[in-house]
Amino acid sequence: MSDTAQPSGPSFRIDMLWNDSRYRSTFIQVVALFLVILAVMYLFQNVVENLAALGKTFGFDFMTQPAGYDINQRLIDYTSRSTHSTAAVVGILNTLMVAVVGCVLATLIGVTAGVARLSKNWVVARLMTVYIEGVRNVPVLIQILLFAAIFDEALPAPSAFRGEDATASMWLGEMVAATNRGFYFPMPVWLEGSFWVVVAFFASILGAVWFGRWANERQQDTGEALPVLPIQAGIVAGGTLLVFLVAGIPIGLDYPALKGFNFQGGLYVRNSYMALTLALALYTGAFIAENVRAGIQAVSKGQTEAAFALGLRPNRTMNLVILPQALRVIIPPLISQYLNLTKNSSLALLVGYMDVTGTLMGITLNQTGKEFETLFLGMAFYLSVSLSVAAIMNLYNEQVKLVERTSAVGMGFSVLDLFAGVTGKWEVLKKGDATMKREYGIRGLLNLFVVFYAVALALMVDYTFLAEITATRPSYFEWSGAKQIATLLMLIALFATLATCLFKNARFIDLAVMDLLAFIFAVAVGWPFGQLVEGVSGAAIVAIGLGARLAIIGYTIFGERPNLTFFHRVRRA
Amino acid sequence: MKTSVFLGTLAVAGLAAGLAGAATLDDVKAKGFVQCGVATGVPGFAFTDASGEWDGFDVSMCRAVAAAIFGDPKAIKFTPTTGKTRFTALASGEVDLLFRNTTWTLSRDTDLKLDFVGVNYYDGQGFMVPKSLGVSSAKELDGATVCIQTGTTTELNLADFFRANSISYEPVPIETNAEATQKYLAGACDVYTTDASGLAATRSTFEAPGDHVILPEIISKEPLGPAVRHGDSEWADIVRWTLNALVVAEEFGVNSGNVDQLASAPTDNPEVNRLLGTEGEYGAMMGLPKDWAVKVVKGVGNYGEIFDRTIGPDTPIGLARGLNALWTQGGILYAPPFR
Ligand SMILES: N[C@@H](CCC(=O)N[C@@H](CS)C(=O)NCC(=O)O)C(=O)O
Repeated sequence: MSDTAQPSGPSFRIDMLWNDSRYRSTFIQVVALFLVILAVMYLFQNVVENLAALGKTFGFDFMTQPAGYDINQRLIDYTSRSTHSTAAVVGILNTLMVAVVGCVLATLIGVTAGVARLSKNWVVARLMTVYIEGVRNVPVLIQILLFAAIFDEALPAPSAFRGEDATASMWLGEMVAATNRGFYFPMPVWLEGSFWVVVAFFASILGAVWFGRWANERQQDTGEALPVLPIQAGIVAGGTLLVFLVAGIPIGLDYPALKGFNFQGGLYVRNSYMALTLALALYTGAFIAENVRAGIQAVSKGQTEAAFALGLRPNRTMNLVILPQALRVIIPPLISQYLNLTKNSSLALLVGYMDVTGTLMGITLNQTGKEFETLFLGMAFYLSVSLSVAAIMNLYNEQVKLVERTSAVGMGFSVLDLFAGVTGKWEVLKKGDATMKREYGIRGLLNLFVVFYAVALALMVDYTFLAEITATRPSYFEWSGAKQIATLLMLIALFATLATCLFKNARFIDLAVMDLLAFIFAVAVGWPFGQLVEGVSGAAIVAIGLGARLAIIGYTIFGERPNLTFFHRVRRA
Repeated sequence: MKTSVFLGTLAVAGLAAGLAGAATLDDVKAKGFVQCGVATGVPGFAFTDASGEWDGFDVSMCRAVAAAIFGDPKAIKFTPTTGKTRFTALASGEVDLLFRNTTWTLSRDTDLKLDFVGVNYYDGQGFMVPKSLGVSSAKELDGATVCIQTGTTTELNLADFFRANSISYEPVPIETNAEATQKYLAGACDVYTTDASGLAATRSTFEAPGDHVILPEIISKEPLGPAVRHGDSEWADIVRWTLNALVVAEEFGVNSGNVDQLASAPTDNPEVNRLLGTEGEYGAMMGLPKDWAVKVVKGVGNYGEIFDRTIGPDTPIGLARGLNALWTQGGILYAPPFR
């Protein structure tokens, strides 16, 4: 755009703006932008005026008032005396719980059904066709209601489990109760010493990953393949079990039991949640199945034949040849399926599941009459979830997508260029380039950086949204404007940096610098870092935060690496 | 992406922009009918009969407003609203008034920019449980699953009641009375709580109403009344005095049977004359015809007649007058004088 804006002719006449192809597109874009801004301003003005005509003011003060209503499913502390903002967070967490579990389930269902539909087994293939076509072509709303109705009407009430002549009984040897209110499962109770079991679990996962890399290298060198997966499973299961036994079986199970009106104890999964999540997962799964099938079929048959000719067994052909290529076709539509599921979760309203449309945009809206503000916040929430999911999936797509040899292009300005004089020139390499090595050099350290950014983000999110509201920690909507902006900036910067770091994207360095700036801004406006971690002073957190960020950035730019940094940037000596 | 944000803003702005002008009476006269917001379906209060006609206690009172303006109780359309949608429907101008088991509260009257113009039913929140549960007091409901309609005072009272008594419950939020009935009967909740009148009305539709009890505790005051948009006093006056006319008509023995005869010539009772327009210009003071109250009583009957016909002791709902008897008969129904 900007490179066409240099007037090069002898004289510039105004009509050249729309007649001269050098200026036309810029000119049109500027005009369009101007019009859009005008329209938005007009609409906003209109809203404010009409609200004023109704005698209503625009403001978020109500968010700090007690909500007054109860919410059945809450993942954080909440009572009817908590504020509307806490109620909104409870709703948001409930939405995310449907979205995350729904997406995982939908992917499992979709991949299975998609692969099975291509099966040579006629019955399996037909069954999958029936599932996919049946589910895809019925509105999801009806499916949700259907599940809810089945759970309501077909399952027994808790009272049916009671007494001598009980008409219903629990499943799986008195472990699981399915009632018309919800499902009760045994829940693990963490006794003393269970901490070490958790530690052992994660440690053995690390060990398994390390073993996988080692086995991979060994295979590269010697050509000998080990049964990696069984050994990895053995490491994780064995390691955890060993510590579990040594520590004296510190994890027990709490079984649900009928007490009073309802089952008590155990893990209670409400029917509203079950119906919503299952229906959404089945529905979205059917679409994902079609994406998966399309992806697999997009890999030419010759590839399979070539793999067979090389002596690869069918499942290795699938894992090593077809799926890696199919993923490139599958990922982009998968992103939009995930987004669809997340947005469809707002149908929760229909089954009385208290997601963010039920709390913030439902009861809070209704009890306070703040339609505009609550809908605005709700839209902002859905928008940021959608954008975050899209960003993550795009970064992932960037990793797996096909890179053609001729398609290596620059990535525009990067902070790295500022230091080109010191570090030498950076060039863009693509994955397929010969100089690209499997070990990305800094990659191992990047994983450490991921931990730092993840912890920082988690602390920020916890403090901003989840922390209990007290006199020293007022609700977000009572903070000063600068503090609110600094918080948003930090959240965005941390998220973007974390995502790029996780996916080894070259933009990581630029975002890390942006994150540093946001952090400095927050410190400058007096963000209460002292409250972030209990028992750690603000000065210490600022020192650690600043130091770690500077170290990460410095290391990424100047780090003494072979000649490869991350993903596809190469430093030429 | 950009477009969706834009369209979203557009939609919200459109919502706010669709407000009706201030002079509701002119609008109503221009379109030729009253648009009334009622419940989606509460037996006795607002329901559609076999022929699809709206009927019920609230519906009749709304028809009274149409009769006052147009002389015809049928010059009216009904919009079913849920507890959640009702105020938006009124504020956005989708309905002209709300006659829907709506409790008059301070915040609704002020912050929500509604105006409550009176009380047509004095109620309180109650609990209904199946007899088989063996519960005799609401205080025994610790741990129970409770069906409530969202967007109501009910859910706020409920939270306060359980909190004050330090007992816990599991709320099941529900949109409409019909849905709540289905859930309650399926045993998906132990308790249904709403206004006691609503409970009685709902119970009357059960196959075996005798298997369900309404617990003795009434945990709140629920003065139910009609609401209009804030800031249009002329329109509020019409609704207020239509309601008052129904009460005063009962007080002075004016009913649908004798109203024509009483209105044919001035009677000995000046208040009746002022009500029926045979004396003074009371209709004109509100922009209504002289005989507006005649048409009201002729069209729907007086307060007592409406009560007896829709929810009274001789109907399946079987509510006693109780607080809703005239002040002269031990109740608190008391309309200001027509003068
Ligand atoms: N009076 C309370 C509750 C009103 C309410 O929702 N009552 C129920 C039961 S009587 C109702 O009218 N439901 C009508 C419907 O389902 O549409 C309020 O104003 O918030």
